[in-house]
Amino acid sequence: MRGLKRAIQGELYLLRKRPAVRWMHWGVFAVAFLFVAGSRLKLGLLAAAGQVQIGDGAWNFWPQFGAGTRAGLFLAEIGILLLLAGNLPREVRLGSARDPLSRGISRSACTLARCWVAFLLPLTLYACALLGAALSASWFFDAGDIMEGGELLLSIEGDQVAHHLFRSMLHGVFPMLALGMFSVWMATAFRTGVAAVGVGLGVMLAPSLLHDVLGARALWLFSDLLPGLGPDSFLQRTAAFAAGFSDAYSYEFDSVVQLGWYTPWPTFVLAAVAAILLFRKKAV
Amino acid sequence: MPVQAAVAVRNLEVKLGGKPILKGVDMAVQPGDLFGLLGRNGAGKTTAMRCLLGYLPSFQGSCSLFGVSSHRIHQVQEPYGVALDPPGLDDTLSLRQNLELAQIRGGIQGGRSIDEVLELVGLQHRQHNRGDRLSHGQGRRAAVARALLGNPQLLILDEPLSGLDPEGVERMLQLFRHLATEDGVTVVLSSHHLREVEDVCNRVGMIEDGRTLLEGEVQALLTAAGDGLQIRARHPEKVQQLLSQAPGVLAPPSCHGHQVHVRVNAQFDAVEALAQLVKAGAEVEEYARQRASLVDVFHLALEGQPCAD
Repeated sequence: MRGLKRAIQGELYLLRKRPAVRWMHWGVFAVAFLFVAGSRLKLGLLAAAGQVQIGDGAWNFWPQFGAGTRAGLFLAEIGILLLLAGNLPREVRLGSARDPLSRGISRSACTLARCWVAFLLPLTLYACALLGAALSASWFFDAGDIMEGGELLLSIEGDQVAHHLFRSMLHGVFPMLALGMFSVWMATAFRTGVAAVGVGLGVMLAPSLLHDVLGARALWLFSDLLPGLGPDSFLQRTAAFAAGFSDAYSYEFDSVVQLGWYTPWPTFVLAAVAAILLFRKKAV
Repeated sequence: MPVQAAVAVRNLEVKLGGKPILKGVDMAVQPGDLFGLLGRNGAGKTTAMRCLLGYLPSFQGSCSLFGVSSHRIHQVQEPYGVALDPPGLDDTLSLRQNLELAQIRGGIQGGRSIDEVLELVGLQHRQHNRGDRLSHGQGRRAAVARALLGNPQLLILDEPLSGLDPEGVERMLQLFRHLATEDGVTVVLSSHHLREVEDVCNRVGMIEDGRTLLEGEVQALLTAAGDGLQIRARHPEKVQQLLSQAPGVLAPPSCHGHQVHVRVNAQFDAVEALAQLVKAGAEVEEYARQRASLVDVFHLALEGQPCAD
């Protein structure tokens, strides 16, 4: 495929230099960090009012790390859609989408380079959310076992809290990769950024809005399992589980989790193929 | 062996949204040509260029660059530069970053550097401005700068003079002339600036309502169009009568009040004609012969009068 390497190098240059991409990374980091800091402030106020005991339940690194990461990913998921679905229509309008096509780069190579970004961007944003939440949680909370009224509620080692949490974080990566690829598809399918982002947002919110209608089929919609926005977010469950809500992560939910390892991939592949085919015929 | 055309467009037809935009455009540009693509607003110049460059994948007819079909434009081996309207600068990046991006995408290592092209178009002082902080004219010049990166053998420029001040127009024209004559670069430019195009281009094509109206050597077109003879006389009817029978007159004289206009060719003897008019008592007050310009060629072509070679 002619020009793929140069197309990828160009996309990486844009990732490094575009202020919006930089600000999105800082934003995700800040949201994750501040969410945990805000949570510490809230727990402090509740403790001062005598409603919680210092060191109980959520007063712990692990649940805060999970909840903070999820908060950062909430913004990250919207950011992925905005950056990947909104950029190409804007570039077509400005005429900057033409430049790579005049530099010996094929249309398929252009789209594949975008797909590469759709693979990379969710990972870097995810890393920012993890970093922000981990820094803030380690700053404000201790990482011991989960206590309740001075007694052991959950053992981080024995009850595999950390294991569940890390697994849920890995689990959330795949729907986000599917979201990235889906956003590229939307970008090639629509002429305006508003339409591309609007339809993308509709698909992202569909599982929340239509959960009863979709039922188990919602799992095949990648957005159902998104760690930030998805109603079946594994991360949300395990963060609650780590905070001491022992019923948050049930064995019934385990089957949903098992399916979630596979369900984002059809969207990932379909979106990549659709994006390549659509951009081949797109007027720029 | 015939020389491979740098640009070849044959019977190009395009429909956008079901509406025919191009209905038969032909264009042939040989290596080393400085070709001017002329036409009114909405005539189809930009659409023809977009087809040629593979930006509009759906069209009828054939378009090729250096013998490679526009459908496989990425396979063109010869380096070429493009500056279309809009200029296509990423408005979140600085001008210099836009040029760096073009270098990366083009794998450009030798030839003109970023500093050189910025100097050529006079935008060194704006290199750190974001794309959206450049004026219309500066955007055009920036697009030309990007097209010049490396060693392009062909430049395709859409309205490169639009929005430029007179100094900027002169600078650009000098640049295009230098590129074509000194560096052997083939230049295709579309423009409304007919007088400037006449000064720099050796060949032109005119598009009107989606069709090629005429195409040819500038000098040949000007010669075919003939000169304009402007006569002001107290008895214009006598001027009309006398000139309509004179040898070398290309078309019947037109009369507006006391003013008579007639197109004549090289065989027309202006001195002899003036003597005849005086003798006939036409009472001539003004008598001027003007060389035809591309503006005249354009108007004549629109009127359907013969002037193509």
